[in-house]
Parts: sequence; C-alpha cells; structure tokens
Amino acid sequence: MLDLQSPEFVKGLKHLKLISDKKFAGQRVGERKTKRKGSSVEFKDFREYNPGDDIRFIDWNLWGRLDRYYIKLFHNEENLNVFFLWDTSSSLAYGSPSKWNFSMELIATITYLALHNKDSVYYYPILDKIFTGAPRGNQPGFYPKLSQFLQSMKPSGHSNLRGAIDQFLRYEKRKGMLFLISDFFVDQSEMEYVFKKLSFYGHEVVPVLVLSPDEVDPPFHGHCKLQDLETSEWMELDLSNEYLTMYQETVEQHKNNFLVTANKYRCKPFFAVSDQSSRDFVVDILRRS
Amino acid sequence: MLGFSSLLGLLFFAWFPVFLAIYFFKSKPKEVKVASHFLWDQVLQKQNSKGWFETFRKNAFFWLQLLIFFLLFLLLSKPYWETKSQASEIIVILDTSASMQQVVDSISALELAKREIMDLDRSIDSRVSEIITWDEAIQSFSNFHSLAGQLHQIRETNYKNSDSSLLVPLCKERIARGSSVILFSDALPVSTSLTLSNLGVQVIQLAKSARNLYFRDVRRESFGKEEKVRVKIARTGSISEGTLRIQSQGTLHFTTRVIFSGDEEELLLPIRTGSTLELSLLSPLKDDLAADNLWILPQKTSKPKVWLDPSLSSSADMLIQYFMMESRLDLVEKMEEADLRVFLESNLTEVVVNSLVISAAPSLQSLNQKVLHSYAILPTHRTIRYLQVGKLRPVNQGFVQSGEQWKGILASVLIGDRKTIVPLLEQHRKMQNCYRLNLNLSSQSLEALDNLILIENLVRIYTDSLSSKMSQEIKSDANQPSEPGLYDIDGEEKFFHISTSESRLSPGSDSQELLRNFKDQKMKPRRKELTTYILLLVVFFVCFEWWLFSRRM
Repeated sequence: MLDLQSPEFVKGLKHLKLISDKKFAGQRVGERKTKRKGSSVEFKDFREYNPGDDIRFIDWNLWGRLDRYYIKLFHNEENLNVFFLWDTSSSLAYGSPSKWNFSMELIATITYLALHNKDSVYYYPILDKIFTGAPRGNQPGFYPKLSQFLQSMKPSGHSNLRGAIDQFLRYEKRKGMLFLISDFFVDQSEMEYVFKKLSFYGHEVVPVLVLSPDEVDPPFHGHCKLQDLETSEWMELDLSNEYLTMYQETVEQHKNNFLVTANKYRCKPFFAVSDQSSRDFVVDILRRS
Repeated sequence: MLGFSSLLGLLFFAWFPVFLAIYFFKSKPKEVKVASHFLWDQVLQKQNSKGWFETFRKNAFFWLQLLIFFLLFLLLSKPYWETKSQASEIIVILDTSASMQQVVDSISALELAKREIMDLDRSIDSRVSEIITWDEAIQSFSNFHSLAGQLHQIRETNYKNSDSSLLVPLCKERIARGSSVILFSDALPVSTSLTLSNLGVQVIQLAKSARNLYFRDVRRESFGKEEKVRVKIARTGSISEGTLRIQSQGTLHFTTRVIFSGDEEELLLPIRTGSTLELSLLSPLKDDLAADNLWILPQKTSKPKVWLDPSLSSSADMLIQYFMMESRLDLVEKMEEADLRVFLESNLTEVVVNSLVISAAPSLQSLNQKVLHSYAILPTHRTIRYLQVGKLRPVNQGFVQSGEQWKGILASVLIGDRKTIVPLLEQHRKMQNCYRLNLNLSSQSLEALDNLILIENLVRIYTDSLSSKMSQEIKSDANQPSEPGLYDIDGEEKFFHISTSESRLSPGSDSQELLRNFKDQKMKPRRKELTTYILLLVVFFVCFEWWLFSRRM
C-alpha cells in the first residue's frame, strides 16, 4: 500500500532542494532568482537615476565620486513552478514493484522538496486528455492534500500523450520545471513532437522513462499469450531465447531513442527501473542538475 | 534413377495431415499480462523483416521434423539408385575348332553358337562389334555390315584350339577398352575356362551339362600276359544308362551296357589287341556330344622309365606323388635304367623353384619332333599368377657335344602379364647325354608361383613328347583332311588332329543359364541400396535438430 505521507517516506527530504537550470518568472515571492529585478538583498546592477525612481536606492557613494545619480538594482526572488505530467494509462500498473507506485513516489518526493522550497506544484495527470482539476500548492502544508490526491489515483485506460501535451500547452501559460513521467510506449515521431513542443514553450523538461524490471528482462518464455494491459488485446508468441534476446535489444533501443530524442531538444532525460528507490533516483536527478 | 522396392513409404502421405495436425496442435499457452504490446510488436516486425530465410529458421523445427519423418518413411520403401549399365560393345570369341562340329540338339555346336550370338545381339542394347574366331590360330572380324552375314562366312575347321596364351592378352586388351567379351565354345579345359573367367570373359560352353555321359579315364592295364582296359565313365544329370562300344580299325570288339548306380562307373574290360582302340559312349539320348563320347586309346608302347633324384627336398615329395600317379610313366630306382631323369636343384625349397632339370636318354632322340603342341595348365592358386609352359617347339639351334646335336625346346612362359620366351635347353655338364630343361627365372619372379604347377607342366611336356602319338606320317593330300594327321600343305607341314585331350573334357555348365545371366547383366540396371545413406541422414538431422533446440532454449 502506497503511503506517501509516512514519516519514513518524507524523512530528510526537506534538506534537498530542486535546482532549475533556467530562470522562470514565479507567481509569488520565493527563494529563487528570476530574470526580473526586484527587492532582494542581492545586488544585480546600476542604472542611471530617472525622475520618479525611489531615491532610497540612489548609490550615494557613486554620486560622491562621479557627481551623478545612479540607482542600485537588486535581484528579484520568486518561487518556481513545478509541473508534473504523468501517464496514467493501465500500462503503468505493470511490474513488481509497479511502474505506477514508483512514479507516485517519485512525484511525491519531488513535490515534497518543491513545497518546502516554496515552489508552486501543479499536477496534470494524463488520461485521454489532461486532467485539469487536480490540486496544486505552494506551501509545505499542501503536501498532505497533494499526496492524498496521488494516492487516490489509479492507472486505467489508454493515454494520449500528444493530445494531452497540446491541451496542456493551451491551458497552462506559466513556465517552469516540467516532469513528464511515462513509459513512453509511443512512436518515435510522437515522442519527438512532445519534447520539441514542451521545449519550445520554454519549460525545463525533465522526462522520466519508467520501465519495470519485468519489462527489461521478461521472466517468462516458451509458448505465451501476452495480454496488453491498455487494450486487453492478446498476442500469441513462442518466446525462445533468440526471441527474448531480440526483445531485450528492442528495449535497449527504446531507451536509447528516448534519451537521444530528449537530449536533442535540450531536455534532461532520466531512465528509471521501477525496482530502484525513488529517493535515490531523486538524489540522482538533483545531483545531475 | 531413384526406385523403391516397397510402396510402404506412401504411408507418409497418408500420415502427412496427421503430422500437420500434430504440429499445429499446440499446448495451451501461458497467459501473461504485459504493459503494452508496443515493444513486442516491434520485435515481431523485426522478425518478419528478416526475409524468407528467417521465416524458414523460425519454422526450422517443423521442417526438420517433417524431413526426418519423410526420410523414415522413405526407409520403409527401401529406396535404391538405379544406374543403367553402360552399353559397352560386345566382342564374341567363337571357338571354330574341330570339336565344334559335334552335334548338339541336332545342329552343330558352331551353328548353335551362331544362333545364340544372333539371339544375344537382338536381345540386348549393346551390339556385337567384333568376332574373333579361335582354333589353331586367332582371327578377328570387325567392321562388318551384317552380323548374320559375317557369322555365315565363319566355318568350323579341323584344327584343335591353340592354348589360351594368345587369347588371354587379346581378351585383356578388349576388356580394358571397356568391351564385354563372351566366348562360345563346346567345352574347354577347366584351366582355360577359369583363366578367361578370371579376366572377365563370359565363357559359354555349349556342351549340355544337364544330361550327359563322358569318359573320365581310360587306361590299359597288364595282368601278366593278359591285357585289360579300365574305363571310368561319369554322368551328369539324371541319365541312368549308356552303352560302351570298343572297336579297333573299324572292327567292333564288343558292346556293353552301363547302368549307373552313382555318378561314376568303372569297368575293367579284357582286350585282345594291342592296337589303337576307339572307345565310344552312347546314351539313349540323341543330344549327347559325339566328340565327348569318343576316346582313342593309343597303341600300347613301352612306358618311359623315370628316375627321380633321391636327394629331393620336401617340395619334391609332390613331384614323386605326381609321378606315381602318372600312368604314362614308370618310376625306376636305378638311374641307369631310366629314360627320363628328373633332378632338382639342391636349393629347391617349398616356395621357390629356381630350376628343374629333366633329362632324357639319347635313345629317345629319334622322336619326330615336328609336332606342334599346346598344353593346358591347371588352375593356379587364387592369385591367378601362374607359370604356363605352352607351345613347346623343338628347335634346331641347340647344343653340340661329342659330335651329337641335341634338339632344344622353346617354351613360352607366361608369368602374370608378361610373356617370356626362354630358350630352355642347355646341356648339363655333369650328366652326359642328358637334356636339361632349365627355366632361367629369377627367384623373385618365382616366389609367388605354385611349385606343383610348374613341375606338372614340365613333366607333361616330356611325357607327351615321349608318347608314340607324336610320330605321325606326313600325308601328301591336304586339300580335304578327313582324319587326324600331318599333312603337307603348300610345302608346309600342318597337323590336323582332333585331340584326345578335347574328348577328355568334362561337359561345361549350362550354357543357357549362363547366357541368360549375361543378358540380364547387360540389360538389368545396377541397383545401389540407399537405406544406409538415408539412415545416416536421419541421424544427422536428429542431431542437428537437437543442437538447434538446445541453442534456442
């Protein structure tokens, strides 16, 4: 049973901090520098004084030396928008531990970090479309509500990644760090479209490809009838060693395609196997950031 | 061409649908849930894009199993590979000696042979390309337009057959060319028949073997003053009785009926005259061979006395045995009494005969030596290497000692494939007035020879040459030789003779059966059984499938 609020789960997470390479304009005052000038204590630049400027920001030392008025400018510190888009199709329910559980733990972990850094967290689960009614928060106090939402969700149906991204970009005008979590069982062209579009809209995209260990190395062989969890269709195969080797090559190729395509559009791709610890994986993401 | 001895293999086709059903009847698959078919579809696409060979590989088990089953059913059919015999040319050797005049089935043996040749030519694919006639000389006829026409021109002669030493190389050469050689004769000495058969010549002896009477042996025997003739008559087949007739110079002495209780009967009959006797054997069947039923018992002469060197080695025991059995010779203990002296070189061993010395007393010099002889040899041991002494001809070049000229004997010696003319006689210095017949052969060439044969042939040469039959009157009119004898033909002396040795021949095997076999051999394609090969293939495929299986799983 997934328990995202247990003390063991959140223990020590508050010391970690999510780092974004890009600077985004936040919604409210936070702890992250933005492109905008503001009122933080960190000096940014000088500007010639214009009438109407607050005279409190005149640098009098500079006036003493140059006999001209200059205004001191400071960095503005705002919070970060952290978006989570994740695949909720039935295929995520596969594996032991399931890809779904791993994804939820991953989202919850990053959510916890983000909230403690006073960042705004937005959830957009991907169904046939994106679900826009998910809760959001920007304070640590929102964590129980958000984690409860995560726990309440179940993977089902078939997701439409391309349509969902289009819809997300139409709906959400804010920019920020965007975690896209899926098994990416989509065509190369669709994968390319998604990364290209998200990057183009200015998000810092962190796609995470999650596969279960059973997908990487199938535990079955011989004459098998495979049922697709998304479509419930059957496929009958005689899985010989040769066939399984070919399958493993295909998985590796799928992973490489994902990494290459994501890198091509300046995304920061990560590959995860669902039996690894979500906390370690997050640490890995932060370290590489 | 592939053929099958049995139709059991057709069962495969009856079982084929069952095999297919079994193959497609698969065990219930394990039902497994997977996240998506996305990756599996890609694998399938890869698999399908690999082409026909990969598709074949995918179903390799099925094909291999099907193949193995097919081969197993093929085994049931006992397959064989049939190759048509090469249509080689057939060369016919036709015996045209005097004995071919004998009547078989109311026609002469020669006519019967011609009929068989025509029948042979009609019934097989190969054609008769050459006819070789064989009597005293050998003559070849080829490039003829019509076989029948050519056969019609060939007539029987009054000559006897020459020895086979001339025929053997001829046959060898023809067989080496890929031709099939078939010989038609009335009857042949066993040695000649065996020699030619071993070369690959199909020997057809037209003498009827099924039912026949023949002389096995006839000899004079003295009982004090009384003289008798001992006759051994043998039969073949189911013939039960015959009539023996003895006459001399046209006068019938008596006729007696012979009733067979076994295959051989022995009669001891008193005779009054010492002249030449003609023994004839009649059977109630009219198809008996006239020549085989005639035995000319020569006028009694004193037997040559033979003395054997007492210091003989172990191999010479055979020689003693031989001389004891030889009725035409008398063994004497004192060398002085002997007409013929036989010495062996001191180093004679069982294996190697370096030389054999035969000497004749000068009193026997007066023999008429203008007779051409040929001597059949006995079959040798299985290696078919033999020493043959034949066509012995006295020659004038010789050896002069004490003012006397000694006649020599020229022997043709056939060792294996090589024919060597050896001037044989030289005088032995230690033994005056003696002929020494010394075969100057290397010990190496003689190593594989059979001592007995060597000795026997040499002895026969001398014993025959000592017989009174060698003395013949030279007859002037040789246009139509009506009886055996020496004739003056255009200044050349020729001997016309139906040899008694021919009459002593036992009948040949059934010519019809041999001919049938020969025709079958020529017509019947050769079959090679494929069972072993298919079995090996099955084993190979089973191993291959097992290897494939272990690699896949």
